[in-house]
Amino acid sequence: VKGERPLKDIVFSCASIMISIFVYFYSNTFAAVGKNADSFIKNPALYPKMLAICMFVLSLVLLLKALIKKEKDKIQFNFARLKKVFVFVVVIICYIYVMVLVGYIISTMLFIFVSILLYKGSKRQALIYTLPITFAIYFGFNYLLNVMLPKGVIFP
Amino acid sequence: MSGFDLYTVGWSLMSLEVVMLIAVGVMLGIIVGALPGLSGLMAVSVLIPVSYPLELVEGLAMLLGVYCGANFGGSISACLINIPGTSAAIMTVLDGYPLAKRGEAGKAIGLAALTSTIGGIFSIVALSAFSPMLARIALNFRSLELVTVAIFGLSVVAYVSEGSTLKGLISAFLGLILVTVGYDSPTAIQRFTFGSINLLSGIQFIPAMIGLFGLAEMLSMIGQGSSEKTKERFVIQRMMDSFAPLKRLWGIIMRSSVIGVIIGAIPGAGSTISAIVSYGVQKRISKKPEEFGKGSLEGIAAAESSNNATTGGALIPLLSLGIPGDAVTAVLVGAFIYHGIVPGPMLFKSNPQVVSAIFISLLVANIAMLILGITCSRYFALLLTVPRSILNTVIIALCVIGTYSISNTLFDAATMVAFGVLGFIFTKLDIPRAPMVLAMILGPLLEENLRRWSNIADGKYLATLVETLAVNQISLIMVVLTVLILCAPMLKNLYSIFTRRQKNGEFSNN
Repeated sequence: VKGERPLKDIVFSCASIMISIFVYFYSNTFAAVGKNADSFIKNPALYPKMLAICMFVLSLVLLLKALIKKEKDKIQFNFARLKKVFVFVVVIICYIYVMVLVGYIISTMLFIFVSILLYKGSKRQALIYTLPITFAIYFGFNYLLNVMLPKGVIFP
Repeated sequence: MSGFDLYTVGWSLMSLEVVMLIAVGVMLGIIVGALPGLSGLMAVSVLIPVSYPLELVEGLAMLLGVYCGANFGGSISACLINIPGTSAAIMTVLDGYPLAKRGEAGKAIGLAALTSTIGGIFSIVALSAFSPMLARIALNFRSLELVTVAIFGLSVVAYVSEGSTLKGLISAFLGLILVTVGYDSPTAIQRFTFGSINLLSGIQFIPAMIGLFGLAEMLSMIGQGSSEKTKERFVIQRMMDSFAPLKRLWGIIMRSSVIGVIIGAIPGAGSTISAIVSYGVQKRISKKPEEFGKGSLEGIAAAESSNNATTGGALIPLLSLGIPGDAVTAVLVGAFIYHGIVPGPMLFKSNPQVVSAIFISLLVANIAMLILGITCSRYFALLLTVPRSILNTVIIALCVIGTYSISNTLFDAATMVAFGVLGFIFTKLDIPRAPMVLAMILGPLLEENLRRWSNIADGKYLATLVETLAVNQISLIMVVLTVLILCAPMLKNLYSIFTRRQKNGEFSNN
C-alpha cells in the first residue's frame, strides 16, 4: 500500500525518540562513584546517555524524512488480526502460569488444543494431534535430553 | 601445541553420539529451512535451550548442523513451490522453479545439495586456515581495535538489513541500550533495573532471541489462513542427474564460494547477501546470461554454493575476534556463554579442542547434508503439506517450554513473550531485527572497551583518537570502512541524481 511506509516510520521514530529521552533522563539517577566521578569509567550514566543522544538524533532524522515524504495515505490497520494476536499473547501468558500451577502435561494439552483452533485448524485436527504432540515433547525432553519438565505445585 | 594439532585434537570428541546429533541437527535444519516462514535463525534460537543439557561440543555440533542444513533446506521449497524457504534461497527460486516446471525438480534440488556441500566444505577450509591466523593478530588487539571492529559490524548489519540503514541503526542502538540493563560491573551500580531483582543480571539473551525470532514469527502468522496449500506437485526424481553438469560448473562454484566466505566473514553480512551478490556476479560474467531466471544451472550453483559458503565464513570473525559474522552466529554465542566459554581469540589457546571440534563438526554436517539432501529430499518435501496450525503450535510450545523449563524461572518466559511482542511490532513496522541481536551481543564488549579506552584517553578524546589512529592501521581501516558504509546510501542517492542529470543532458543535446 502506498504511503504506508512514512506512517510506519513516524510511529517508530516517535516511539524511539521517547525511549531515548527517557533513557537520557533516567540515566541521571545513576550515581557516579569515587574520584574523577565525571570520567567515563567511573560514571555508569555516560555510556547510556551517549547511546540515547545518538538514537535521538537518528530517530529525529527518520521522523523528518518521513514527514517530508508526500504520499501519506491511511495506514492499513487490521484490527481483527491485531485482536487475534493479542488474544494469542494472553493465551501464551496463561499457558505459562497454568504450567507453573498444574505442571507440564495438563497445561500443554490445553494450550495445544486452543492454539490449533486459533491457527484456524479444525476441531478434528485439534482432537487428534493434542495428545501425540504433548507426549512427543515430553519424551523428547525427559528421556532424550534428561530435562525434567515442570510438575506443578498442585499435583506434585 | 604445533599448528596442525588444531585440526586433529577434536577427533577424540567425535563420538558416534555427536555424529548422530549432527545428523539430527542437519535434518531439523533442512526441514525448518524448507518450510517457508521458518528460518535457520529461528531454528537455532529455539533449539538453543535443547542444547543446554548436552556438553558444549555436542550442543554446538547439533546447532551447527541446523545452521548448515537450513541454508540448503530453503532451496527445496524454492524449487518446488516457488517460495524461498529461507531468505538465503531467494535467488535459487529464480532458476530452481523453472527447472522444476520442466520436470527437472530432482536435478535442481540435487544440484543445490551438491553445490551447497561444496561451498560449505570450501568455507571450512577457509575457516580453518584463516581463523587461527586472525586470532593470533587479534590477541594483540586493544580497546580501540575492538571498539572499531564492533562498530563496523553494527554498521554493516544496519546497512544490509531490509528497510533503511537509518532504521537498522536505530534498531542497533535499541539493542545496545537494552544490554545496559543490570549491574554495571566497574561501578557495581544498577542501571535500568527499576528495583527488580530479576533484572540485576541484565536481560537474558537466549529468551530474548527465542522471542524475537521464534515467537514473533509465529505471532505474525496468526490470521494468515490455515495453510498455504500449493496446487502444483512436482515429482522429485533422478537426483543423480545433477552430478553430470558439475564438471563445467566447477569454476562457478569456486568463485561463488569465495564470495560467500568473504561476505560471511564481514561482520553483519550473511548468507542472503552472498547469494544475491554471487548470483549477480555470475549473471554478469556468464556466457549465457539469457538463461538466468529460466532454469539456469549456473544460477543455482552460484546462489547455493555461496550461501552455504557463508556458514564457515561467518564463523571466522566469531572464533578469531569474538564478533559474530551474522545473526545466526550471534545467537550461537549464547550457547558458548551458557557453558562458560567466551568465543574469541583466547579460545585457540584455552580450548583448542573446542575449536577443532567445530571444524570437524562442520565437515560432518556438510557430508550429512549431502547424503540427506540427495536421499531424503522427497520426504522433506512432503512436510510442506503439514498443516501450519499444527506446526506453529508445536513451535510455540517449544519456545515456552524451552525458555521456562531450562532455567525454571517465570521471568525468562516473560522475557521471551515480551520480546516476541516486540519482534512482532518490529515486523509490522518494517524494522530489521538482526541489528538488535548483533548489538545485544556486541554491547558489553563495546561498552567495556570504550570505557577502558576513554580512561586511557583521559579527557582528551579527539587528540588521543587522532594520535592512535595514525599509528594503528586496523582501527583506521575500520573507521574509514564504517564511514563509507554509513555514507553509502547518501552516495548512492547522489550518484543516481548525477547520472539522471547526465542522461537528461544527453537527451536535451539531441
